[in-house]
Amino acid sequence: MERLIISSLRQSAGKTSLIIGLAKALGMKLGYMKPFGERFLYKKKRLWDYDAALISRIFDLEDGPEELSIGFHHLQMFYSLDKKATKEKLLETFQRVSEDKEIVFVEAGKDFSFGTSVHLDAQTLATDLDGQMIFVISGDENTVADDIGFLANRLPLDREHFKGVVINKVMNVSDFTDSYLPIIEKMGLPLLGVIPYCPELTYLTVEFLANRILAKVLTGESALHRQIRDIVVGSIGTEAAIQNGLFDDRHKALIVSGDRSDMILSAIESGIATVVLTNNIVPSSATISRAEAMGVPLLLVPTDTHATARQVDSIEALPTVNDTGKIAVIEKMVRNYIDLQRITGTKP
Amino acid sequence: MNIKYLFEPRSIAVVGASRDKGKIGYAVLNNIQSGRFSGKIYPVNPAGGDVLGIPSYKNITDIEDDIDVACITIPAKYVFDSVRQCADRGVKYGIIITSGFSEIGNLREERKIAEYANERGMRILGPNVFGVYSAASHLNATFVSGNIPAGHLGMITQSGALGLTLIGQATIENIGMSTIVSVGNKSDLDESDLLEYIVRDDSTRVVLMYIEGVRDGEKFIRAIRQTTRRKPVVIIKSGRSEKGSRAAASHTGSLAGSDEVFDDLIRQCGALRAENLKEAFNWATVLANNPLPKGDNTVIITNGGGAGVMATDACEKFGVTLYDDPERLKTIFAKSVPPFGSTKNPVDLTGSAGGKEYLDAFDAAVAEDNIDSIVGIFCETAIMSAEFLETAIAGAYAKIKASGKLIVFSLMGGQATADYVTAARKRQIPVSDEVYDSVSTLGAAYRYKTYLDDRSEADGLAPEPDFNAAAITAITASARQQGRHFLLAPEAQKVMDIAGIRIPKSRPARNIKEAVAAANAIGYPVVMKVVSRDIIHKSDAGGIALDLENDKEVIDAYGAIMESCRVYAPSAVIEGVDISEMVGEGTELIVGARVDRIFGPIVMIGLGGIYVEVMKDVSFRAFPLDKTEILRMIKEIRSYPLLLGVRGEQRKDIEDVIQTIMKLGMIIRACPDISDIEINPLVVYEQGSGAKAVDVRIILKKE
Repeated sequence: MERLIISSLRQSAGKTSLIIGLAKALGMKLGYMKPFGERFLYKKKRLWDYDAALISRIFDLEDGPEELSIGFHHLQMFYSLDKKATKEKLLETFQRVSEDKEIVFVEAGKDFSFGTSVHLDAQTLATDLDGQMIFVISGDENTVADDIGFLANRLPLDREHFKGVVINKVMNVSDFTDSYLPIIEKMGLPLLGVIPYCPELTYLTVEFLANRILAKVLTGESALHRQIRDIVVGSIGTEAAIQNGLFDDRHKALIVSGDRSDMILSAIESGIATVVLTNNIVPSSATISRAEAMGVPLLLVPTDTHATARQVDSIEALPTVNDTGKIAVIEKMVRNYIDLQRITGTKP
Repeated sequence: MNIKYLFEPRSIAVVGASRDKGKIGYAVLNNIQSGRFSGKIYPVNPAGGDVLGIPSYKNITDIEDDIDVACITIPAKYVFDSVRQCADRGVKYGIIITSGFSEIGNLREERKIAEYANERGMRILGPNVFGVYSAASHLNATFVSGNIPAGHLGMITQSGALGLTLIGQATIENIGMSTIVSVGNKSDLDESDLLEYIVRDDSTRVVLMYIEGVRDGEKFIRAIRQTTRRKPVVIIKSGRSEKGSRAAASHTGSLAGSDEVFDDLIRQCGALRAENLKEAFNWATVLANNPLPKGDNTVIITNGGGAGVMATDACEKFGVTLYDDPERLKTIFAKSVPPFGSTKNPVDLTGSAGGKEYLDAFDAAVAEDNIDSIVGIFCETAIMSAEFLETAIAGAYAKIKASGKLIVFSLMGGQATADYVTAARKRQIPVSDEVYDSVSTLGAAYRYKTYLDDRSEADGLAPEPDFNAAAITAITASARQQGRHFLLAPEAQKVMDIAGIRIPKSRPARNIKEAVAAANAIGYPVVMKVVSRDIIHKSDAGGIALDLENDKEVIDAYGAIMESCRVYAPSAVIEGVDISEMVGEGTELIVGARVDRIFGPIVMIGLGGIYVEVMKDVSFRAFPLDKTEILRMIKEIRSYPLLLGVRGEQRKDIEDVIQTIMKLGMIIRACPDISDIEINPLVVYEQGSGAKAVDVRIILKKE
């Protein structure tokens, strides 16, 4: 059974997407856990990690998402588990999720150091579970080169528990291959693949956006699957917005104060993907009726337009379980750009 | 100073009186003269000589007699000097017709004029008004063209142009006026001051007001309340579409759009808000010339089944109660209704009915003690043609009015019927060509009657329970010292405690260890809420976890709340959490009190929970308040049936809700530092079990 610890030096490198892609492409009996859930959701007193929930649902795992993590926040871990108890619980959970499996992915925290104080960092996980670490490296080309250099030369990397690196979201693959790859290869770390940047993977669904910004859905419940490719902030005049074709693309989301009925109506009429209404201002019933008739989701948030825009800007476009198209793209990318044989091979 | 002298002056000076027919100074003087004003008239014109046959004065200071009113029509740049002379001369009231002041941004000059006048005891109406009309003193100091018929309708308008339109329409419909005054820019006198006269003016039976905005809401509410006790007030207020629902720190604030508050508060004062001019005139005319119904029972008498059904729908819409005793109705109307008609309400005389059948049916209704008001519907047919209308309508109307019952007619047909409607309206017969218009008028009469009836039952102020306002002030002062404009949860809970409002048991916790200890001390299940000066809407921030049943759930919730709040407000300083007992299920309300920018202290009730802004099921009231009025406010929300008990549930403790609202009102009035108090939810239990304030938010006034 393969035991792979998926880690990264930086946040949002694409660990979960890589696991989805590898699991799909390899087609092996899959086990998964995310011992220290940090992107967690809390609903009806149940606490689970978003990534764990996603993978559990995509691959229909026997264990529910809350059973795939042993802790969710530092304070909880400090208060309830010491080092020994943490390791015992880790091994016990691993035992359960790996039973009858051919491959088990253990997803580490958001970056390499995350979870160190509660004994659930990537290095500890690899050692305690006797697995091999794969590092997902992403960022601009210079960052990628520096991060790999840092891994190779500055970290006391436990080579026994290290499989290699995957370079992700590369904007210009040919330039990267010509200018950077030769340097990186000389650093001596096993390179498992270079995955180009794919804009489709940055798209959000309206439902995902609504969940992330804790919005109240006023209308358009049945259209929450709509795809958002671009965000427009309604801080200009309606006429200018129309003249500049800001609402022409049906895959846009408009963020605007709830009292800008002129702009909201123009966006609705153009069939925009969604309108985020800020300042907790509910538009008139006529506007709500029109949105309902046009099937446009109206999302109400308490924050002002500027704060909402900043919040939306910081959202990481994670896939959702219903994003079959996105998941298929991830699988295709992994198949095309990752050396799968090296993933499932024996220890180097 | 007695406002009477503005409307019934013994002497009036027209500053800017002109011989030029194109000048307002001419029109005003001409109207005063031709209106047979019985007091002294002093034209003021720097050129001197006669104006309209009256000797004029070059300067107001040249007039030796006392002057009650100076009507100023000269250009804006000369107005201050003129007012200065008037004030120095001891003129009581200045009516500044001239425009060109605050309405175009020239607020400074306007203030200067009002301040100078007021300091010398002179009051100012305007500027930017069309003048004053008073039937009692035969004074028409306006530039309205044509004669104004004398009557019983008193009119106050903020818009000069619309005021002139209203007068024009009143004239067309032959609606007699008792008083007309426009308030213009309200630099000094406002609607409330003018109502002081109108309420005491016996010739005014109904007041019609057009309002765009209210400057001093508390004063306005007092004036309206005093007036409606003696006569109906019909208000047209523009600005329904005003965007009142701005982002605010409290739900109460965001829900309290000025128009919503205005709507509720004038209803509280018994005024009737009309949607449009037509409706306002319909209501005002009927209320001025007819008795209010003595009881609730209305019958519809019609010769058209469809029109009868429409009227039934309209009665439902406008809150008119249809008399519903089939056996008694059969006895009353058996003789007037053919066998194939219906004696049920609506009473259908059928298309075969002629004038005689109508008169018989009206006579039967008049003779019946159980019937208090009638909707008479006439659909023109070959049998009941328009030529019979005078007999059937005018004859019946006189008899029904004399009986003390109220009837409204709806007449539908061809040109002859339409002509009759126009003619009958000029005779103040309550006719319309639309069933909904007629029933809307009847509904207004009933609303006013209900208001008067209720007021006669309870008109006292609620006694204020004794409480320690100083202790609350100490809490708010402490928060201010820490640079906060709101109270933290433990502070707000203390305020509730001082006011005697029940809250769940709770303990603050600064860390996860204390949270677990607090939960164990209170006893499971518990609720956890974030405590942060930077997070006011806790549920929006994911800062609340409910029904935590053991240590593990408390630990999980603590982390989840901290994480959610960090995402929601990354820079928020989080003091910790508040652990409180998980209150049992009940009906969740939102109750609040706030100091409204215009209307002063107000209270609110609505359906509680997280969808408060979406549902907007709220009602407002101003002070003074008593229990009856608070109960009336509670009854206005759509969710009121939930408090009465639905689906087999018991009635909820409405009395405790009333007490809670009274206490909030008490706090907001006694603690001037507080701008908003809100409890959401107030969980209300079965009668006798009280209510609990689960989440309390208290916001301080901005310094």
